[in-house]
Amino acid sequence: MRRTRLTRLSALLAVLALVAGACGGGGAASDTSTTAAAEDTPSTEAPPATEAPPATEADGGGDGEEREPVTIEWWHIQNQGAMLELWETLANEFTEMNPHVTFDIVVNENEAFKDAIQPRLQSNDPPDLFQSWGGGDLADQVEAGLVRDISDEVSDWIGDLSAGAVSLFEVDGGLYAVPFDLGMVGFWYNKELFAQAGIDAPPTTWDEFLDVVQRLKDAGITPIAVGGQDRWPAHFYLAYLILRIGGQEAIEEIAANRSFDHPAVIEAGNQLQRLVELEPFQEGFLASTWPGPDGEAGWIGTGRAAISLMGQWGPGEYANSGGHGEPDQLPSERLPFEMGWFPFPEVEGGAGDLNDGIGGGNGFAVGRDAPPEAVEFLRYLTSVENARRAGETGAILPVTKGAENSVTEPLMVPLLESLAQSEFVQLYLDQYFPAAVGEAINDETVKIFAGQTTIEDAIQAIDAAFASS
Amino acid sequence: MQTQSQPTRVSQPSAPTPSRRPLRGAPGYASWPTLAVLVLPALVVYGLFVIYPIVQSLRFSVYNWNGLGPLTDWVGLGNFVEALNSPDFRAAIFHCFVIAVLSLTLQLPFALALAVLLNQKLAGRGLFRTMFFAPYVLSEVVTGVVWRQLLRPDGMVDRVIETVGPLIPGVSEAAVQEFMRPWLGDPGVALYSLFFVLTWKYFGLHMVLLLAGLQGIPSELKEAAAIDGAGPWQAFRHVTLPLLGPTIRISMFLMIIGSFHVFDLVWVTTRGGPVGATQTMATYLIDFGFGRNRFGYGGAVSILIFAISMVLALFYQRFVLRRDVEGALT
Amino acid sequence: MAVATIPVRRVLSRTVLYVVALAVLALILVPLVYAVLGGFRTTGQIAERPVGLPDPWIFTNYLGTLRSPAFWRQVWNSTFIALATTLLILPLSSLAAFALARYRFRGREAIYTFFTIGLLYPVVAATLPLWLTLRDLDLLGNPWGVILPQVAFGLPLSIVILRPFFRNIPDDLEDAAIIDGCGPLRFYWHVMLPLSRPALSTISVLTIVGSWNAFLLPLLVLTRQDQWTLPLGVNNISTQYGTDTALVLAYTVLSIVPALILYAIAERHIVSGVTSGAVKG
Repeated sequence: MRRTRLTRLSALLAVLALVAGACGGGGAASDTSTTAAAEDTPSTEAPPATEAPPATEADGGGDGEEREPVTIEWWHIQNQGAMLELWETLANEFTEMNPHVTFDIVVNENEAFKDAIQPRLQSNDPPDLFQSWGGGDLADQVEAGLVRDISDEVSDWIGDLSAGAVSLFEVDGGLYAVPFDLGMVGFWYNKELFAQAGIDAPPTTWDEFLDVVQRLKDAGITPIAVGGQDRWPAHFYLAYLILRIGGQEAIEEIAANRSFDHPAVIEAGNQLQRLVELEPFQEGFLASTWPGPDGEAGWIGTGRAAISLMGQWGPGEYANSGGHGEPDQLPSERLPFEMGWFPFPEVEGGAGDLNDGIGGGNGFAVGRDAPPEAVEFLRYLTSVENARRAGETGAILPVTKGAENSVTEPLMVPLLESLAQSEFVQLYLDQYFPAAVGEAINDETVKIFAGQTTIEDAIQAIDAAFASS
Repeated sequence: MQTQSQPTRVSQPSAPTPSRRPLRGAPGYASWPTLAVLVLPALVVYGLFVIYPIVQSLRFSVYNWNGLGPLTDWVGLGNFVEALNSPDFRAAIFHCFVIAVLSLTLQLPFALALAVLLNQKLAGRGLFRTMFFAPYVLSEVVTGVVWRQLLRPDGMVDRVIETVGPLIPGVSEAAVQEFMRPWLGDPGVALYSLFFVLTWKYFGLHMVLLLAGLQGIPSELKEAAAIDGAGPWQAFRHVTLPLLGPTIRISMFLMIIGSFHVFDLVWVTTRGGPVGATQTMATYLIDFGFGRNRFGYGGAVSILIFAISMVLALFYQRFVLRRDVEGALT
Repeated sequence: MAVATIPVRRVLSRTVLYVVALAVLALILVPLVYAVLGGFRTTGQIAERPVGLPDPWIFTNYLGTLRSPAFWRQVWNSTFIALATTLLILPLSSLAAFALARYRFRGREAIYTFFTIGLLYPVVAATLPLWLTLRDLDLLGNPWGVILPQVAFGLPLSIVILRPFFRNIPDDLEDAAIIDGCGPLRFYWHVMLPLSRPALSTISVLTIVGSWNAFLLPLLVLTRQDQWTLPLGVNNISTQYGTDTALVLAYTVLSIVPALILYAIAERHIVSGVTSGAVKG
């Protein structure tokens, strides 16, 4: 693999100044229609800042000339709940406005998606639109010529989206995907279980956090659920500890040196070791996936464990995997107990700031041979009205300007506040680095969780992956 | 234990006739064009999809290659060295050996015992045979999905153990609780749990093989042994077992080869986890080669798996099966 | 009638035999019954009481699956791939085995040995290079990308089963055919094939079952969801709807019905297939 890794990485060192004017819109948007007919009557609250809604434009195109029938093959991973329905509704609406467009929607669960997209991309036959997290994977796809630079196609409207979110999907100055969601990883916790253990306030330092874990354990409560089989949920712990201990500089140095042999990583490993020694995880956590009844989300959703380190998609999945409520309700309404959120605590003496985060977004990459309609559809999907509809589900945090306050889910408020104060959000490390390195990070972190390796050996294994990619 | 491959015929058809070409018009003569029509289609398909790929992989295994684009990043034997030094790949090889050894020491005697049992004049033995063999017909995917449900924490297996355990004399409730664990989630036991499921699926195959072998043993021999005063055990030990030798050795062969091929079941139950505790050579290949876009490395791993399996199979053929057959497979 | 008094020991050992056989039978049946009944329950019921009867009986899981177009498409895909594989394997293997069995020519044993290597060949090791070959041939995302390799990997066993079968057909028949002016191909078609029907049935059944259950190759080759076979569907539904255990079980159970029916009809062929290969004589 002859790669220009360094230049690519530097392009990816997307320091996300996410000054999104978010912050809990309260009930302001709660009455916005969520019905399928919404696009006909522009939402009363849609900010006027944007240009003519894309729907109109697409309509206009349809009126003028007969267009060749096209099918858009669209792979996404919103496989449950309200988002699954919303994506389907949007596709139907788009077809209604553009009768020559039909959709072939392929829905997969997160892990199943990764399995399925791999041979598909390797066979040089990318779908028209597919889930992307940016980072090393997207860079690989760019290098393989599987995705299309859409900078010119979207130049009219990409400015309507948060620049920080868009930058996640830029590679060497080109844009290859359009984001629809951006958020940050943090601790979701069960307030009732905290109360049972006599814990009044969430911890703000790592030592306090370890103390909380111990007190939960003493109270007979499983402190932490983690999806050890999927591995990436575990990697959040290591990533955050590195960030809190070494700050932004540490991550930049790791990327520049292409080596995890860094004091901050070693210290992070030692701190992680302290957590692991408390044996805080659910029974069988190494075989737990993220979703599912026996998964991390299931343990949280059924109130069997207290804490989960997860991104903005957490609450929706806790409700799904816990088997609560109807998909059209907000996660907090569905969950039978009260939950809260707190940022990953500071490590004493660490260089990182409490509001800096590990996070990332979801976007749709555009396949090399996708019809122009696919990009038009992305415009429709990320238009303010539709971004608001997505935000109202409480399952994602939309990135379209003017849609931020559509997030009425109260659980998201502290997360959004923290995000607004962030000066640096680092993309999940397993996505940030090339695939082989990301997988090695995940593998090695879980081995640390299982007490099967030391941080020194882990660093060696990760660096071997660096060397081979 | 084996995956999709079918039992091997090891016996050579009766005395091989010399390949000297007979005269035109005589039996055994066919013109070259006719022969080509007969043999070439199979040879082409076989060569293209079975032989060519592995030869091809010799070429790209010496490159660092993400599967797309040209082969430029020559690494020599680097991929082979990396694989052989990788603790994960070594563990995968080891796990395959564990499954092979357990198959030989537990599954084989179990299958043999049941074969002997069903060789008795037992009412309904046809039905028993049909049922015992049935799991062999199910796919490993189905087997894995169902057993994953059964083995999950607080699943059916746990409930059964909790209920039945304390009923065993001398086993306390506490001891049962001590014994309970996440069967697929504990790195210490997951491999054994999978072995159990593999046994569930494949013992029927070996039982049927051994049963056929048993039925091929003339009953006069056993009667003669009985007349000589041998007890049932002695008759089994000194008459049946030796005569069953060839079948047992073939069963063993299938188990060893099969152990090296396990993929589907592991992939749908544990995906090689927890923390690599059930990684097999095949899951390692898919995970680390295919899944990480490392096709050059994957090619090297393929060749290593190929070499390990071939050496083992040929070794076994030469030193164990040789007694049974002349000029067996290769 | 002949047995007037059965010795007590014999009755005892009989009982022990039955107990053992029934215990093993239970071990086989319980997972299957659990899956079948699980499909009639709700996920909540299963979670609350893993052991137990449906209460009440729920039919939506099975009916929903039976009404799902995706399920039937997978049934069709699996059927098509299994039948196509079989219909190709039969002529290819029987023609080759015929030549290798009945005719003497230079290189015959070498070719036979070349085929038998495939029996030892670890299919999994071939997967990754095979996949690249299929990509070069533009067979990815195409059912033929599964069918042709399955044929190729099925040839060795089929040839090895057929060759002795063809050999054992008496030479007199061939003499007679030659005298009647029958060429090799007509001899093959009119004499050999009809006589080897049992062996051909065995090969067919083994091929169909193998193809029906195949997972790894379809997983990597069938990259479009509308091409998926049942094992891929089962695997996907078990991750996709991991939370809905009952639905997963219903789908799984329905996916094995065809295989079980085939087994019920053709048990003899399957069993003779696996044994004929392995047992001498």
